[in-house]
Amino acid sequence: MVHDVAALDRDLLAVLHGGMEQALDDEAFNALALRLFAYQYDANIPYHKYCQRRGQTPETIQHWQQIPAVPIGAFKELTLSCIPPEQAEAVWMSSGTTNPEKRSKHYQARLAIYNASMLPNFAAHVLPDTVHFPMLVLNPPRTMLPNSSLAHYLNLVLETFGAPGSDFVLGAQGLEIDKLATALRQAENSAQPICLLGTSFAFVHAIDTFATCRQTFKLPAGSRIMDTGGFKGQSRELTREELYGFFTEYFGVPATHCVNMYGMSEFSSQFLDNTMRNAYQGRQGPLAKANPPWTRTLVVDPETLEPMPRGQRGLLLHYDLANRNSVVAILTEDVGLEGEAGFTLLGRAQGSEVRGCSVAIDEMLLATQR
Amino acid sequence: MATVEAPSYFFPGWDAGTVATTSLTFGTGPETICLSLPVLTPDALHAVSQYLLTAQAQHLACRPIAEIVEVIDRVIQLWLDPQYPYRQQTEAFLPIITRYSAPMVRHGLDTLLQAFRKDALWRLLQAEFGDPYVLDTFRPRPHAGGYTRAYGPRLITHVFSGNVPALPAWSLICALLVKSASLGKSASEEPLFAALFARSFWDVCPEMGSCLAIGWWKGGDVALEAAAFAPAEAVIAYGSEATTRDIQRRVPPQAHFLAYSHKLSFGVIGRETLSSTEQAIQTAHQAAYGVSMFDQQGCVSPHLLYVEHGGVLSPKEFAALLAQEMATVHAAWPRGTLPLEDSTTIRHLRGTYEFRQLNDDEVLLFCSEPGTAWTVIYEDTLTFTPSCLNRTVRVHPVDDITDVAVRLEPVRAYLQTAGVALSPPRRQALADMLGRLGVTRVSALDRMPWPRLTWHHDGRCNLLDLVRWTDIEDAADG
Repeated sequence: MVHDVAALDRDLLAVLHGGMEQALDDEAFNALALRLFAYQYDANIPYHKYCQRRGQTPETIQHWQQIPAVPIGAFKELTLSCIPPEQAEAVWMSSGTTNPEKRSKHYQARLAIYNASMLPNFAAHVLPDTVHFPMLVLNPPRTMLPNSSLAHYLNLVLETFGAPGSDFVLGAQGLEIDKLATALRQAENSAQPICLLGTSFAFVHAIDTFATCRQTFKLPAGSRIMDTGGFKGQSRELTREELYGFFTEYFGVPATHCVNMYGMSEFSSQFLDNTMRNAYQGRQGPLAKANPPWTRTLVVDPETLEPMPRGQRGLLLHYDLANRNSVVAILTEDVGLEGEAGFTLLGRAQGSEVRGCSVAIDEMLLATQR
Repeated sequence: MATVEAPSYFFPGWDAGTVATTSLTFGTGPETICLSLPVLTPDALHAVSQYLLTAQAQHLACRPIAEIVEVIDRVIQLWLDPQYPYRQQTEAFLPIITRYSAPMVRHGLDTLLQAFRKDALWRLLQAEFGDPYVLDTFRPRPHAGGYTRAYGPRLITHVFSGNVPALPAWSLICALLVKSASLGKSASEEPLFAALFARSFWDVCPEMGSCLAIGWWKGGDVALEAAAFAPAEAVIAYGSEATTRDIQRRVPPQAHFLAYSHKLSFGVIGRETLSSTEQAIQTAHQAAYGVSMFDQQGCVSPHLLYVEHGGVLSPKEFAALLAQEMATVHAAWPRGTLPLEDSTTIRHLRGTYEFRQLNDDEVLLFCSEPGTAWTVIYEDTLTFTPSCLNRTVRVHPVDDITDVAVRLEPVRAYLQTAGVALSPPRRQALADMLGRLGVTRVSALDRMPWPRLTWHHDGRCNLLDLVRWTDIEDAADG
């Protein structure tokens, strides 16, 4: 089958440019999802074989929920790309915390699609009240980490929304704590609120340093923080409440102005907390990760892959139309709950402690690495 | 939610009815049960231990071994009777508590408890002591001259793990055979069986029953465990290496410490057992049974199988037969339900291999659908990758069975049972190689889950390791 990729991209970009406020009803979502699936089925060879083995093809599928989901680990096994990888405009690699040898690779055919997905989503959830904002990024610039989707994300945020004076405060030498402290003190003394962005762990590192030298800041009202990622593989783990407690204590930023971004290199869209957006739109509602209109999330039973009854924990299965060059449907290892608007992320499904007297895998890995 | 009246603790001579209780909840929805347990304090454990020590001196220390064996046998006979109330409670509640399927629990109880019948107990005593009456009196010492007598610890504290129901019976029986009282800490994952088992001794023979106490507290509670370990002359702990090491640090130096920690088991299938489809199916069935018992949670459960090239059937063909037999075993003894996290692990492992096999002819994936009941992965690799368990097994081809040694080398510290399907001479030769590596048991594939009572558990004696000897030197020996 010949696919009019240009028309597909045009229609996809039209949806993305519609931003967060548009309503993409199930019919429209379904139509675009099925077109993308038909294209990916033909163009993405391993995915084609995968679907064929399961007897799930464009002919047998009528609804986006039937699109075969790829387990997220598949990105580590082989190339899931609709174009030859060397033609991709970018390749995102996972940080590979568990096994550095095997990093997942996600090829972006057109960064325009990725960018068109992330920008309105970020703006709606972190800058619901404004367009430009002074920003401090606790992450290296994209030039240092060309294969990091997060570096690209934060770089693009800074380029697009950063007011003059915005800067990176993490470079080749690590966190530039003096630069950060000076900028924070400056903001504190002016009336200008600022936005801090970075990985959860970079923030913990900064806070640990400030704690040692007993430094705290009281940033102007309206200041905000976006953190992302968890603490896997790090020496220290904090709960969300603990982390946001520190944000209030050390930066003077209340929890209503803290937004966690949940994203992975295997996806081209992200899921951000609805806190700030709700606050500025005067909406009440429980904390949730918001689905941009071009995404859907199902909470499924890993045993059957069927949706769980509402209110029960399950695995998150995301459908992301911005994943134009790879696969639309990906089964994650993340546990969550379905909500009224969006979903709640509960964390990574850690293998439960082995009941038996059989060696736990982690214990084994430690032993064999010695 | 049903609060179950099953007595999940047993403290003879201590009125638990007057103390505060806590509860452990298992299952979901209408299947939920809640076990009520007394909150223990160091003082309570001290009082219980003192009671046990007195009871041991009065009722166990001088009781002839033959009588002890008789009482154990009577208790086991009760437990093998499907109408026995404690057995019925165990069958009703263990599937909810442990998530094992009801047929698995029944089959497991029957097979494990059968192993403790009178004949087997005498065999164990004879195998270890030669003359079991050294437990009753001073007996002449063959070859050495003089007389000798064996004494067990007055009190043994056991820290049980919850993976295999009925396994605490093994530990408690060994203690009784060396005339030791027992204070058992049951596992959070399965706090019921040990208590019921101890209670049946009380019903059959109150004097011996008064030498057993079973309770529960959250493992690692320093104050409680200090109280539980202080009066013990031996501590036996089951669990992960981290857990047992932590316990060991807190056991007083004068107490004897024995740990049964995590192990790795595996299977070796020789080409001679793949000489016809019929024979290969039989071998595959035995392997599937060995993998599936207790959903692969036992230390004796194989993580993977090495299959030798050169038979009429190839290792790949064997993997396909194994898959078929995994389904057969699942039909008879269904895999239990899994927590979300464990299903996720299997789901993602399968996902990885589903893609890997698209690109690699030396990788094959067979699995149950739609659920995660069993998974067979065929992969040509040198690496020993431990299974995520719950009936997930890898098949690795080898050119010759002697090739397994180099593959096992990185995990030799953990090796335990090797299930083999080999002709007797080749089995003997391989056993020597495996023994040198650290394997402590070589059995048939379908016997892997059910070690003989007389097995040197993890390479050690079961009873001899517990006793201390007193010798009388004969004057005539000079």
